[in-house]
Amino acid sequence: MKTILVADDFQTSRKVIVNALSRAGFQTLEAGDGTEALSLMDGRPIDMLVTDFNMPNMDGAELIANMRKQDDYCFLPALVLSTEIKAEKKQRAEAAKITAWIQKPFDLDKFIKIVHKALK
Amino acid sequence: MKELVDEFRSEAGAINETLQGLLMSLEGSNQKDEVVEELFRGLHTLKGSARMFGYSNIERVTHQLEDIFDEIREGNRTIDRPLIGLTMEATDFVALALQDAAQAGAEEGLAQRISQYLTEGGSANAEAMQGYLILYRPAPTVFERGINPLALFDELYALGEAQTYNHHVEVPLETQVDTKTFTAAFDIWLRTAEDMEEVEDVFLFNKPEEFRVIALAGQPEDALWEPLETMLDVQLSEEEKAARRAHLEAAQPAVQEAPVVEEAPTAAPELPSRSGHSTSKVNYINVPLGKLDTMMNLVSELVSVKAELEYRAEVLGDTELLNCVEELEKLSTRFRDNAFTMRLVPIQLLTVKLQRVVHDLSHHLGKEVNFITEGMDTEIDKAIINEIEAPLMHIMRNALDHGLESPEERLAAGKPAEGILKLSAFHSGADAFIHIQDDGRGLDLKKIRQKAVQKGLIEAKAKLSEQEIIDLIFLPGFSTQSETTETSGRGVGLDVVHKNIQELRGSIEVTTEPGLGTSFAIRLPLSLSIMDVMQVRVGHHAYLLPHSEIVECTSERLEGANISRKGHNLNYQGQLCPLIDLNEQFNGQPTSGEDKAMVVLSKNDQLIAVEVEEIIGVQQVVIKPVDPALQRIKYLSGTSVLGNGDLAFMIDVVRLREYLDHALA
Repeated sequence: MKTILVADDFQTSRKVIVNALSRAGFQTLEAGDGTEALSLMDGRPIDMLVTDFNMPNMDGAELIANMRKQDDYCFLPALVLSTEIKAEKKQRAEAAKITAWIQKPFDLDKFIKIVHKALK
Repeated sequence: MKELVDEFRSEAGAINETLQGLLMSLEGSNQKDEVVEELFRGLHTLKGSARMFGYSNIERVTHQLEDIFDEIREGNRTIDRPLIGLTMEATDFVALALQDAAQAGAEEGLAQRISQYLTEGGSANAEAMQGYLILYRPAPTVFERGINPLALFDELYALGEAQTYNHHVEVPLETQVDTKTFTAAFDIWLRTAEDMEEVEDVFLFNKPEEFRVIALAGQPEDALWEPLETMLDVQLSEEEKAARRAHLEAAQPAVQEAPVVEEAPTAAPELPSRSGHSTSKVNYINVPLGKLDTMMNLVSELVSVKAELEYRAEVLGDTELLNCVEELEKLSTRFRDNAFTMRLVPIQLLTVKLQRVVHDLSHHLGKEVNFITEGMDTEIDKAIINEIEAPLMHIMRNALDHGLESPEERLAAGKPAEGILKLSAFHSGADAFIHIQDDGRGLDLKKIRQKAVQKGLIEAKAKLSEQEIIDLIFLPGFSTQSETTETSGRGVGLDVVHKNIQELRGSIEVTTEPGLGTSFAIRLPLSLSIMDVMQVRVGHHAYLLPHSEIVECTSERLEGANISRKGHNLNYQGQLCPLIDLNEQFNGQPTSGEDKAMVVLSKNDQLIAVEVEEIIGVQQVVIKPVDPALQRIKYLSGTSVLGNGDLAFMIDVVRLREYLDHALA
C-alpha cells in the first residue's frame, strides 16, 4: 500500500484530502505544517507528498526544498494544493521542484486521478 | 488592407481563444445550450471573416463544424468527446493559420475527419486514427520533481501504437554523471484514436517547454510505423550536441537552473511553432468594451474629485495648492480625452464587410455596381460601429436590390449600365455622418403612398408632404417590394434600422429624386458616453439637456425675441411648440425667479421648449446609464456626476412630453 503524506494547516481541508485518499486505498500521514511534515520524514517509507502552499512555520516550497535534500525522499512526487494565484509564489514552488500545482478548489475525482498518475 | 488583415487576425484570434475556453467549459457545464450557441456563433463568425480575408484553410476547417454545432443547437445531435476533440484541434489549427504558420494543405486531414464525423455521427470516428509526433525533452530536473519520465511511455503505449526514438546524447563519463539529473531526449511517433488533449494529458506533470505534441496531417500511413533503420539513429546537429553538452556541464548537484531545452532539429516535418507569437507583430490588443467603460467611469470620478479639490483649495486660498490643482486639471483633461479616443475606431472596419456584400449581392442580382467609398478613416466609437453595422448593411442591400436598376433598364433610361453606390463618412461638430447614395431609380412616392394606405398605416385621403411620404418607409410593417426578396427582406425592415439609429442618439434622413437616385444620410454621435450637455437648475436640482438638441435659449424678458407664450405652448418664430415648465412638473411649483429661461430643443424633427429656473452652462460630461431602479422613468436618459459631486439626470424631452401627454390623457 502506498503511503501519502498530507501537509495542510487548515484541518478541514486536510481531512477532506485524507478522506478522499483513504477511500481511494492509500495510507495517509498527516501534518499540520511544514516542520511537522519534515519531522515525519524520518526514514519511514513515504511515496508521495501532498502539501498546501501557505502554512505556518515552514511553507510548502521550503518543505519540498528540504525534502529534496534527503536521499530517501529526493525523488518523491510532490503535489502542491493551493488557492495561491500569485505568480511570484508559484515560481518559488516551481524552483523547489514540485511535480504538479493543483489550484484550489479542485475536483476530488480529478485529484485522485492525478495522484495515481504521479505515483506511476 | 494590411491593417485590416492584422485587425482580422487579432479579432479572429480572440474569437478562437473564446472558443477554446468554451470547449473547456463544456465538460461539467449545466448551461450547455448557451455554450453551444456561443460556439456556433463563434465558428460562424470565424468562417465568415476567414473567407473575407482569404484564409480558405480556416474556412475549410470551420464550416462543417459550424454545421455540426448548428445541428446540436437544433437538438438533432449531441456533443461527445470526439467532437470536442475535433473542435479543439480545429482551434489549434486556426491559431496556427492566423499566424500564417500552418503548412499548406495541413487542413486537409482535419477537414476530412470533421466531414467524416458530420456524415457518420462520430461513431465511425473511433476508427479514425491520428498520427502524432511527440518531441519529449525532459529537463534534467525531472527526477527531482518527482516525475518518472519512463512511466510516460507506458501511458503513451497504452493509447495506441507508438515508436520511440532515443536521441543519442553523448554518453557522459561516469564521473560527470550526477545521478539526480536526467539526460535524454525522445521523439515518439504515435498512432492513436485519441485526440490531442488526451495525448497531451500524458505530459500533465511536464512543463510546456519540455514537450510538444504535433498532430500529423492526413491519415497516418502504416509505413510510418514500420521501424526504419535510419530513424533509429537520429543525427543531432552540432548545436544540439553543444546544447546537450552544456546541459551536462551545467548539471552540478547543487545549482539547478532549469536549462533551456533547445528544439531538436529532427527528421520530422517542419515544426510549427505552438507559441509562435514572434511571427505576428502585436499591433492590437483586444480589450473588452466593459474595461474601457470602467476606465471612463474612473476618469469621470477623477474629474469630480478634482473639482472638489479645487473648491477646497479655493476655500483655503492656498495658491500653491491651486497650482497643483491646475496641473491636475490639465492632466485629467488629457486623460479623459485619451480614454475617449481609445474607444474610437475608423469606419473602415466596416467597409470590408460591406464591400463583400456589394460584390456578392450585385453579382447575385446581375447588377453592375461601382462601389465608391469616401472618408473611411472617419472615427466613431466602437460601440456605435458595432451597432451601426446591421443598419448599414440593410440600407446597402436595399439600395442594391430596390434602388439600382438592372443594366438593361439603366441603358434604356439613358444611364450608364454600371450603377454607382457611394458610401461616405465625415465629421461635423460633435457628430459623424454616414451617407449612402445610389444613382438608381429613386423612391416611387406613389407606390409608397399606396402601400401605406393598403397596410392601413395612413388614411387614403391623408394629406402628406413629400418628406412625410418618404418617412413612411420607416414605419413598422412597411416594405416597398410586394414580395420580400431573398436579399432585402428578412423580417427586419427599415423601421428597425430607424429605431436602432435613434437608440444611438442619431437620426436618419432620406432624400430621393425619381430616376436620379436615393440618398440615406445617417447622423451619429461620436461617442455614447461623453456628451456636451447644458446644465440647468430646476428647484434645488441640476438637470442636463443634450447640447446637440438645443436650438435656442431665450427669455421672455429679452427684447426683440420673436417668441410669445400661449399657456402651455410657445410661439417660437411663428411655430407653435409645447412648453414644459420643469419646476411645475418636478416640484409642483411654477418656475419663478430672476434667471428663469426657456430652452428650445429639437429632437426627431419635433420642437419642444422647457422652462428652467437657471441656465448654469454648457459642459462635457461622462454619461452613465440610469440606475435600473429608475429606468422605468423613461424620460431620464442618463445620469452624470457633476463637479461638486452632485448627481444630475439628463432629460429626454421627447419622452418627457410623451409621458406628460400620457399622464394627462
